[in-house]
Amino acid sequence: MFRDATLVAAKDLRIEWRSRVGINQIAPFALLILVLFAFALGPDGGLLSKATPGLYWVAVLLCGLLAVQRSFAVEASDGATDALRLSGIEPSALFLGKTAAVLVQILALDLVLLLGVTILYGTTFTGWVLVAGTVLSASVGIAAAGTLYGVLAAGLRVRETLLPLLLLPVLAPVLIGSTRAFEAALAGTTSEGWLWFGLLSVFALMYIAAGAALFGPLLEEA
Amino acid sequence: MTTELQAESGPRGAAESAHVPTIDPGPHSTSSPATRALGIAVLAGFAMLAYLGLAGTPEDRVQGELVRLLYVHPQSATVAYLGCFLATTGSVMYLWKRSLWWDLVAHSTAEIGAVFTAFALLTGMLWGRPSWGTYWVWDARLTSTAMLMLLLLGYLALRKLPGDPDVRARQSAIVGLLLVPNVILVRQSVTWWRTLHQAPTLSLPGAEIEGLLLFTMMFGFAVFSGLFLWLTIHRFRVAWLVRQVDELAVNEAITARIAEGTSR
Amino acid sequence: MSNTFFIVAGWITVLGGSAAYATVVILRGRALSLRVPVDRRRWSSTPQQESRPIARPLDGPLDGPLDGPLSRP
Repeated sequence: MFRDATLVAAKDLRIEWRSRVGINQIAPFALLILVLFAFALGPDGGLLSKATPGLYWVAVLLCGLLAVQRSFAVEASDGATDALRLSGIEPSALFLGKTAAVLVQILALDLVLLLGVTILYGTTFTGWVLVAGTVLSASVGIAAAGTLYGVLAAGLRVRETLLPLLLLPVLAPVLIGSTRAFEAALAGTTSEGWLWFGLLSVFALMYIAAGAALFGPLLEEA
Repeated sequence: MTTELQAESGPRGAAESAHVPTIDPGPHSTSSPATRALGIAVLAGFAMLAYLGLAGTPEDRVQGELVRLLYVHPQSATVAYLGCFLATTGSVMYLWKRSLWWDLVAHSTAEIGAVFTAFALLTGMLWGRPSWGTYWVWDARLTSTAMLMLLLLGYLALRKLPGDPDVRARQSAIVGLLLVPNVILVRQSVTWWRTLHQAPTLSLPGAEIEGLLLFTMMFGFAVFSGLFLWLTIHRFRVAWLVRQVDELAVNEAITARIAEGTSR
Repeated sequence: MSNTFFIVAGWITVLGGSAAYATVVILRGRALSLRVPVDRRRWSSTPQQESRPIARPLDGPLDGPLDGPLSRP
């Protein structure tokens, strides 16, 4: 199963690498969001640096949404979904593979954004272990939930509008948890941050389990 | 509800002509004797509740007049959560049994849940304005109820899309199955979000209510449960009829095609 | 504004809202039931009718509510 998942993930990442959509469009978009926040909140008074955790994670959510949509737009053309279904790969492996590919892209975006807020907002990060743990667990949660809801919306004509409506309320706990964990890391109160890390891990595990179990019924068509 | 009660006078004697399959003689509504009785009971219950809640009970010592909103607000919220819970149950059972019945249960209860979530939010805001001085506070309960509303709206938006009803049922079942886990996660995170950073949240002081006031509150729960049941049955039947109409349309199209083929 | 305003507004929201929603459901049900033969909506048929076998061309395993208002198929 994990071999198949790796194959699917490698396929998706190869497509992404060749098309360069992530590098040429989503990463610049992430930086654009950071600049827009600066325009909205004003550059002075340390407001940006103080609001960094929230702004950072809103940016991650918006970019992650794009990555998820991209991941299923790739499958939509040339009957690729049918080919995947016929390939004999287990639905759970398919889910894990697609999640892994989205996860890699989101982690790359996380790094770009971390660099961005450090340079543009002048935020100094402390508590690196907690920051790394939060980034990882939150990204897994976003990737897993995004893949599950992404395949659901993929076949629909209104997917661009429906996916945010379905996905963003679901990701509210991730936004709350990761923002608070970052705040705790920046404030040096890491013990509270690890509590949020726990919530993020529960979310991620729940969505990996749900996705692996439910991907089958979602893939079968009429 | 009143319109439904008048439907009782429909032609009950028309039943014997029912063996003509295409002409439909029965009463054209979603009501049956049982739901009519339930409807009357619920109407009477609401009249009683309105009397007790608005005039028959004294003011509360702590809440004053505003206690009168507590005869409808927690009840709406409870029914909303009940609807949400049943929607998830229906979704799980649909994925397991693949029966239309459970799909329709999930759809109906989710819609009713959304309606009552709106009631709970609105009455909560109307209670909050005179009590807290503002329509909205970022209280854990208010926030998680608002998130429940958004989750339900997403589910219903998916349900409303045109297309193959079986595919849609499967997709909706998966969103519906995740409804309760999501609400729990949202609630947990919002509660921590509030309590770890602020003073303990404001809550509805219901604990000190007793006597006739307590009875009225409990009576309200009973009446709202009856209304929920009544609405669920009727909404279920409407959903059932929608499926039948779709099926009949397909049937007619097939018959038309066959007739086209043989006449040539 | 006085407390009475908020109380009345709250009650009107709930009572009026549920009455409006119930009316919509009822009216939808009436409009739809005109287009569905009675043997496909068993709740409006009498018991003796139900005991009679009825030919239903397109009914699959997902048959309708059989006797009670919400009984399992």
